[in-house]
Amino acid sequence: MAITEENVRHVAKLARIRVDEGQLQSLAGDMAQIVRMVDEINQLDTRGLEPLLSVQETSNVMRDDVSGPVLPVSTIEKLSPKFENGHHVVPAVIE
Amino acid sequence: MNWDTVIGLEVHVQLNTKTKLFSHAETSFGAGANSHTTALDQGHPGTLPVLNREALRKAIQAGLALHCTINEYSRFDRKNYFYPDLPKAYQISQYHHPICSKGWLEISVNDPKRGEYARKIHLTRIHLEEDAGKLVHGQGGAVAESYVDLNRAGTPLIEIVSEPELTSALEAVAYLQKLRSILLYLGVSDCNMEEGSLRCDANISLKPEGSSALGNRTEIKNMNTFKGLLAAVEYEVRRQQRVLEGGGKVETETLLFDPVERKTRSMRSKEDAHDYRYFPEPDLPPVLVGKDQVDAIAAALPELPDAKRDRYQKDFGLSLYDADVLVSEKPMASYFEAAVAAFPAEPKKICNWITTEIAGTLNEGNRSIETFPVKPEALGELVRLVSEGAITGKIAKELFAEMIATGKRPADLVKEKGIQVISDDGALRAICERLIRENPDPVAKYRGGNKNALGFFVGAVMKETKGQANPKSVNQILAELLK
Repeated sequence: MAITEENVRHVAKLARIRVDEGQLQSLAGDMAQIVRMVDEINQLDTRGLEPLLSVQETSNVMRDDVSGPVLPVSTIEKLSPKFENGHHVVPAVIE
Repeated sequence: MNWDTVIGLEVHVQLNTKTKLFSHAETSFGAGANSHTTALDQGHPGTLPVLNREALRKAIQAGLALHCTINEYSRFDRKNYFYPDLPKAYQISQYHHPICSKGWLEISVNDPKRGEYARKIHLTRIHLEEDAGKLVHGQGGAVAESYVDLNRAGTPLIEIVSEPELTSALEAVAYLQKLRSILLYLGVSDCNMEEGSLRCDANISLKPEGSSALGNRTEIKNMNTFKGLLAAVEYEVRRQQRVLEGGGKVETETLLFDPVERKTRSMRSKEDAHDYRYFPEPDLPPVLVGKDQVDAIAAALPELPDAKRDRYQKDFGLSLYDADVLVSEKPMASYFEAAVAAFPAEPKKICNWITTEIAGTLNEGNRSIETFPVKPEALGELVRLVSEGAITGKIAKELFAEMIATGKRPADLVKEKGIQVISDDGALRAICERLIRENPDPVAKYRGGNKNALGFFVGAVMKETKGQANPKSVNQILAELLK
């Protein structure tokens, strides 16, 4: 699969990564190579095989609806880059 | 040109579990910011989600009540996007394999143009997902910061998606009301719309009447009142109609409805259309639900509004309209049933009291029937007293007002006030004879063929006896004397 510079821009935007225009071409090449590895897997004959959705054969690991200890707000505050009046503070977002 | 309106609703319902969907933090409303979160809810690395069994059960209950197929196999996916109220930068949802598929519910609509009618609306799916946190924006114009409270993050939601089958704003409201009623009967959510436990997005498009091709649609986000939904859909339908009739094209976009300005405005344009990159959530194993488990949940479902409505018509001889009014709110149906249990002989009379006197009083005071001072047993007793001829209908209404004010039982009030019905023919006959002597005009009218004139005398007797005369006897005596 060919990766265009536009693809790189789009992925960078989704991932919130700043990419210089000068890097686009080489990154497109790198990404194309990675995708080619997946292409190799595509050459395997998987006819007649069920899709594998999880490597673990488990299901229904559930918990009862019972409450347990929470993080103290003081701990959250310590771990937060900016914290005021019980809230994380982030750059303004207005839709 | 005439246009067909096509509406589909996506309804988000907060499940009333004790704890969150994937963590043991309590769900809460109004608690101190960030006081109900675990490391998982805060999005810290190294944490793992574990599904709340009760949330799954409630989702299955909702699916069964809405005639869905409960999928034996369902699974969670990650919906990826960056937003500060979403600490993990993805929401765990069910995209490819929801817990419930298909389904339907029946709505009844009262449309001034089309009259009263019932319709079946089909559902596409119901899936489980986690809610996001809450963002608080600073006040004023040039605000540089927003504040994040993650208490709500991880609260279990079900999203109920309808097929695009609704054809008017009134149908959309009827659909949301019916959904709310069913969910309240099930007890899976408190459906408190002010607190955001029930929120709804509407997809709206128009197409030329009778055409099968759908037009471009817009999506109005996050409405949480019936009034808001009605106004928003009505506005948006008119707006699209104006655009199309002006030769324009409806842009596919996401809108917000401003309830103050009463109009929709664009929320995000097509250029930043989201690319969610759904993929299977690797931290959660698939959910397998056995037929036994589904059968057990189905067997334990409470009686739902439609079944109750049919039963009221069949067992109590109520009209469709009366039955619908009683069952629309579960507490009202429970009140009715408790009153009928106290006096089973006259359910229709009890229904009338509830739908007129009680409903009227509740509306005036914006009160709920659950805290109404007149208990259902007391209402049953009141109807019994009238039915047995111990008090008249007029006295009953007076007593009812006192019962509301004092919370006293009607039989006690009757004793206390020395109320009795005068059924004594002799006493009543004397009053009737005197009134006929004193009022020759109405007598002449009555004898001249105006049978309504009888009402004058009945009223006069009631006035004389302070409402304590047995109306049946009064009517008989008067009819006889005026012959």
